[in-house]
Amino acid sequence: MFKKSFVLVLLLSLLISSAVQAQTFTFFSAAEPNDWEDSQVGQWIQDEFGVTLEIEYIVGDINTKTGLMIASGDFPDLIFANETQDRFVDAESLIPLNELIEEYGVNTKKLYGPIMDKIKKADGNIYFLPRSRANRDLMNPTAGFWIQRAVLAEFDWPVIETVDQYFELIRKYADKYPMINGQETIGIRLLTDGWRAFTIENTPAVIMGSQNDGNVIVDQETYQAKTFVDEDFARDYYQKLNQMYLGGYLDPESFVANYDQYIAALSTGAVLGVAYDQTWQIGPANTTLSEAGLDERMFVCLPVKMTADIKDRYQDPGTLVVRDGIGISVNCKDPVAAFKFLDRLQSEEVQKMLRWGLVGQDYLVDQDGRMYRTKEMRENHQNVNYMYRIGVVGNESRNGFPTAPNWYKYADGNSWDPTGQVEEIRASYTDWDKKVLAAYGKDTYPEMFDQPTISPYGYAWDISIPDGHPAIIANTKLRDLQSEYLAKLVLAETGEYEQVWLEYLKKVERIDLEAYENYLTQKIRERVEAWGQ
Amino acid sequence: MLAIPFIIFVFIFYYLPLRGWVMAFQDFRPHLGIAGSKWVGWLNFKLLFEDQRFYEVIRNTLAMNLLKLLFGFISAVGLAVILNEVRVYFFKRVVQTISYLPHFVSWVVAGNIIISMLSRGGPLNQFLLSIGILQEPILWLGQKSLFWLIIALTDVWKEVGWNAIIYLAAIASIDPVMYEAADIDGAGRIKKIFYITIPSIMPTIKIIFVMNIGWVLSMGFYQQYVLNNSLVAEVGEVLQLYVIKYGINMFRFSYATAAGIFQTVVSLVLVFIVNKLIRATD
Amino acid sequence: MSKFRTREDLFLDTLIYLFLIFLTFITIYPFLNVLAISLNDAIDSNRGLLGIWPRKFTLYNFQNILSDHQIYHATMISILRTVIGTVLGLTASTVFAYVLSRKDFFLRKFLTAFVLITMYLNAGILPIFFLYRELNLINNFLVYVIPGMVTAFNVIVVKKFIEQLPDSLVESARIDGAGELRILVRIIVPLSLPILATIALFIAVYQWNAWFDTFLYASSRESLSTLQYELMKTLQSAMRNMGSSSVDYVQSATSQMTTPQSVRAAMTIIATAPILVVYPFLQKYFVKGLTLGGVKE
Repeated sequence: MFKKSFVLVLLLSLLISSAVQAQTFTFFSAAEPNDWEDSQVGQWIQDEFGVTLEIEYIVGDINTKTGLMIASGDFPDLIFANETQDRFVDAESLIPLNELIEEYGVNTKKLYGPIMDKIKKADGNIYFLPRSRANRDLMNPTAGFWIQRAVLAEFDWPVIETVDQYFELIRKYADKYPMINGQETIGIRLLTDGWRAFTIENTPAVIMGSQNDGNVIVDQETYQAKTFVDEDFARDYYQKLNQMYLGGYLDPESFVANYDQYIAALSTGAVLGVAYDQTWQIGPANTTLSEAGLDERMFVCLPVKMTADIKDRYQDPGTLVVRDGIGISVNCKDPVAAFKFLDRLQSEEVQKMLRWGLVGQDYLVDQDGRMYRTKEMRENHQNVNYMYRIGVVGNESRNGFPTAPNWYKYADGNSWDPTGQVEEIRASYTDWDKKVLAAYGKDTYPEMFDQPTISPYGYAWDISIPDGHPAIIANTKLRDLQSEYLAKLVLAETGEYEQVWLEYLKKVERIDLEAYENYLTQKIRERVEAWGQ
Repeated sequence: MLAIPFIIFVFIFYYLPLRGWVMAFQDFRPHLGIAGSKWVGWLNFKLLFEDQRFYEVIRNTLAMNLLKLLFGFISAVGLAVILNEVRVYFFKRVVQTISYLPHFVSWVVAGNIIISMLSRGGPLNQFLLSIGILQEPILWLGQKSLFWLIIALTDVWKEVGWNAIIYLAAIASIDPVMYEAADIDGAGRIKKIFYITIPSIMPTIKIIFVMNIGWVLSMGFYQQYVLNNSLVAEVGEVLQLYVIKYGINMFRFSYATAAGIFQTVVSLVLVFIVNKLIRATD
Repeated sequence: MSKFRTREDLFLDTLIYLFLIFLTFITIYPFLNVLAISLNDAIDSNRGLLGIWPRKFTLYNFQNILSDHQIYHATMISILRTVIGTVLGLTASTVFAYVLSRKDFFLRKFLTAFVLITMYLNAGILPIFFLYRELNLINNFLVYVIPGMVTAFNVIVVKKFIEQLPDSLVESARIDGAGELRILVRIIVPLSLPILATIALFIAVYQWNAWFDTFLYASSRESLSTLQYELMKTLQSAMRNMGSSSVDYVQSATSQMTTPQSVRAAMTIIATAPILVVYPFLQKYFVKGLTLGGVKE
């Protein structure tokens, strides 16, 4: 009798304590280590939800780590594995979320309802909620050809549309000013460091008016993906770079330097232009120039094309990327609770914290209910370390938390994220920004580009190729070959260009590019089918 | 007797994992495990030996590591011997401490310094231009013919102090009586170096050489990874990086294992040949 | 040593000192450069900093790293693994090396080869991971100090060293009736101090700098995180958000930014400083040389 009641008491106390004790979820996050669980917002959410998160961030190589996890079957409750997410799906280590969404997904249905078909895998199941939600950058251009403001100002803000015009302008300025601030003027600088070399590899496609589909061009009618390494326009473009080099306007250091030195070179203010780069990569150079008070040497992004009649597709229309996101593993003991947690993260109250921060501290609300920020608050948000402390996850939705695109509106009419709030964008421009924009009669930088078109399949680079597939081997080999030969082409001596080009073509032929093209074509067509128009 | 626990230990931690070599004969998928993966025979080895790039990286790896080995040995032994000739104890300690500092600077950081030093506008070019040896600045790191040498020399710069330590230790235990005897015979310092110091540390030199020779295919890749660029990619890529790129990054663990077996076999053959030649481990 | 300085002597000395001063100059440079970058404003360093003096002084790079609340616990773990790892590794290498050096040991040749081979065995990451899992070493402190306890390189170097000691020493001790252990501790160890100090240094530096084993075998247990691992974490964070789209190039008043370059520099200094402090204690054993000549009868 005594024993029984003792067991009963024990059970009861266990029940009570477990009810009081927070439910713990282990979470593997391939985001950069940001200690979100200790941030202000993170703490508040854990307290409020009665949940404790134990987050393991990736520190070394993600391929090794996911390999160990999948091979050993030691999965945490929640998984956000960046570009390796599909490996977990293939290994059947994530549970389908369809029924959970149906039953408990009040908020999920609201935020992911419109794209539910696009996030299903081939078997009709949803295994993870993608974090990237087709954000639109209304303030900054996505990518293009970069040129110093001073160069444009010098020649009275000419409209630059073609590659030839762009190179010509740089030549003219470099001839006129062989020295800048005591340093030798450098016409063009390129970025070729490791994987970042995609900037030079993909340029021929983007100047032909293709969206950034990695190293293929996708036919917009038949959805046939085709590599363009051997095309005439590629030959012509690299030949133009070669001519710039032979004329002494292209820095050969481009092919030796790494990313740090690329930024250092641009930050001196002596480099006039970069033939294609994306805003996020060139960003640190502009920041440094701005900090050093060299505003006129900062870079402006231009929609440069092969010929003026081509419509540019530089500007990202805010296309959905579905290759990664957060999912619940088969090892999770209480998937319902885990899903409820994910769903609650999507409530408007929590989303405002995750995207804007805390009211009073990170943003204010005026009498019309519009959210706005002071200069200081805006500056705080430029500082990643500050963002970590607060726990704001930003546009890229750090840690893979489910979210809505920045142009979604809350019930009160405010944008989902400061980057979607028009007043915020206007207030962020400096005097020099306004000067440049006024010269071209635009309100924002993205307006300098053609209207973006939404692609019916997203991006070709968003398609993950299964491990060991011939397509992925072909792609790696192609990139190895490009890395070698693009340098040879651009730095070819006078009269040798043709010869190097032919040698290059011969080596390209040996790669099984068809496997790569066919795989992408098939997947793109499947997507167009599944996503509808 | 006392050796038994060690034998067991070595067996468990070094030999037992070789079970995993069976993966080389499979199309190993992590979620299926060894038991569930498909057997493919020698396919992975076939793919490996058919890849043109594989031979290129083997050539590069061998060339760079042999150069490093050669330069590394001469410089480290040389430094140890020279330090031994310094009589001012304080100076000796300071030099020794400073010379091994670069060992603790990672290759990424050291690489940045090297690339800047060797850049077109960098100090080396400026110096050579100013004394008239060069007319035009040279893109040092873009020269295929110089890349292997640059790798070997920068490795010496970074590691010489560290590598010299073990020879210093060997010199430190030379019986001073030997030098005293030489003094009585009236031997000069150069003579003493070649007749006492170097012969006394020869066993250490030999053994370390033999052990290192086995690593010519597997020595670190970080240096090359950092200093490599598209102009020298042909001569700069090494085996380990190749295995990462075409193996692990693509989740081809079987392919990586096949390359690992190849590496092991080559290493062992090399060590045994060299050891037979100079009989050092005994 | 002769007190007379010959011409040869003088010439040699000049050469030696000039060379060593040159060497000191080029090897201290990278370190001073790193120190300068670690004390320089991160954004300013983007412009390139080749000198040995910071341009825009700040302590923020260090503050940023040291504000990680886990770093103190992680440092404790690092110290623990270094101390325990070095003691275990040194003891094991010495004892094993002694056993292998005994010329009367019948398995000597076979065992030497058996150990030597392990240096070149490349089993791959997965099989080793599974072995450790079977041995219950995953997420266990022991994974830091046990697997690396006996390394072929150390054992063979020490063995070689012991073999060079005069046999007569051991024999005379044995005649005096000393046991194996006594011979090892009383005779072999004191005479091998230079090499033992070297091996201790190798092991300690390896232990102190290791982070990859944490990444592979103990990354999901926060309490086992080491200093190097925390530093790598900070670095990873800085590297990855160099490419985050939320960072715009608006001028910010608070220059509290980090870049991979500045984090790396501060990291190098933080991780190397303790080594420099401990180093002189080991250094004296192989720089000064043995003055135990008298012991060697």
